[in-house]
Amino acid sequence: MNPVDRRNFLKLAAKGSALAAAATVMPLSGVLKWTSQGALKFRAVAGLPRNPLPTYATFVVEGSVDLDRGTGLITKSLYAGAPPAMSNILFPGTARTIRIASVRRSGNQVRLAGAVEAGEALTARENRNVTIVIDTSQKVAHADFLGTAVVLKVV
Amino acid sequence: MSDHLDSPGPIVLTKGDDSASIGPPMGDPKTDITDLYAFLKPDDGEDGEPPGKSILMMNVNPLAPALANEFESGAEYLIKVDTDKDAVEDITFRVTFSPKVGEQQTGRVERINGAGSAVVISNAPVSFGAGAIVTVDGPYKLFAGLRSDPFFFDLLGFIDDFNFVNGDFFADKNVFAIVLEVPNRALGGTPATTSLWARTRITHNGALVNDDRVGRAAINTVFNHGVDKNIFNNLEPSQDSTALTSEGITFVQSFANTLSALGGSPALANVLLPDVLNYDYSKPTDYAKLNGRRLRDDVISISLSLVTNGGLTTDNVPPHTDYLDHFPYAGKPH
Repeated sequence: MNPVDRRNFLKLAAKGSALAAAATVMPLSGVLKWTSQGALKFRAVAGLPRNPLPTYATFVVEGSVDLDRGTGLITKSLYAGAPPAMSNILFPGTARTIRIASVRRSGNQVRLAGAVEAGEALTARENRNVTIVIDTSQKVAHADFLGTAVVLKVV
Repeated sequence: MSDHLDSPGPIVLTKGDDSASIGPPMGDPKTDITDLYAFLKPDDGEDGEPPGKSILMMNVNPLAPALANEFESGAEYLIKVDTDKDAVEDITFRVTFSPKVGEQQTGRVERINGAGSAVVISNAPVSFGAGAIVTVDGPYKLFAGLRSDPFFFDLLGFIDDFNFVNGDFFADKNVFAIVLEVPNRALGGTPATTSLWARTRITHNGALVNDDRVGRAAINTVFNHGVDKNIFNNLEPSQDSTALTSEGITFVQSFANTLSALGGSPALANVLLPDVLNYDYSKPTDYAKLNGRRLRDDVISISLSLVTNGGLTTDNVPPHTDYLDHFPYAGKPH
């Protein structure tokens, strides 16, 4: 199946999934706080896969950044279990450590740019250069999981 | 992910600072069933044994030995056999294990039916290394221990919204396997109406309670949401058609809804439930024909085609190449 077919399939599938959607929108816990002036610590989570399939795993993006220096360390990890029942079992080969090299603030958005640590293997669709956007008013984060854009909740 | 790391893998329900057990299952990887296989013995009659045998394989403990390196001594590992299509077991193979002491643990197999129970294998050493310790007693054989996980699937592609480009997540993974060779006559003598499922039971507050269960591949993972996974695990197959989900609808309706959302036929829900693995041992084994399951059967591609009505046909992952052509059939551990 080519990518266009896959997208169409998901689009079609999502139309009939009101029940599935209701079942997978679950309370998420996380943290988003200014730990001191110029420092941001956050944790954001999303259940995967998305509708219409039942959530099977939890994608976690977390870390802290120095807004003034434009540096920080962020991790992306995938754990077994949906967000309300997330385990501490990490899926092998899914953890990424991102060294942040640039932080830009614009209104309620904080845009973090960096690179996955050199020693970590990437899958075919991933890019070593990573951008993560945190919307502090919406309390969501935008990041990629294996190259696919994912919106995560920070609460 | 046939049922790997799905409930009962996750242990605790967490909301904010509060956490609570979601009840049985308790989330012990040692009793987390990954897959059930049932197939005609490939080398039937070629090894000097009388022909007419089947192989039943129940795998547990995903990612072994990372999460656990033994069988649970307080648990029951059950392969249940229904001979008359009522989704109630008529025969049960009950496998139990001694506590692990050092690197030693032993298993025991009983065959239970309406007439009572009989021990068919006892004091069978568990294999923790590359070698397969096989215990033979009359027409029965048992292997129990660490083995290459026979399941193959682009799990990360599944999690990544069907982007099946990541290859086989399970290529280097192990499980704890329970492999039984049994004479077909021990399965009840009515092959056309025989089906099986695997069940684990664990000791909780001094009593044995249901933990995990698996019939066909990936049913709970693909169809049940949230706490419904655990509700489903706790049911017996005979309850599948009438039991209610946490949303107050039947599991059949819930499955039908998911099938509709995936582009499949809602009527398929009545085929998928009760969740048992049909196994007519008078005919060749082939998961695609809803008859048993061999290690190399591409259950994911078959299931994808079925539940999406051909919208998706493959995850692009072929079977493993480390299967053995002789007992215990699952490859050496990685």
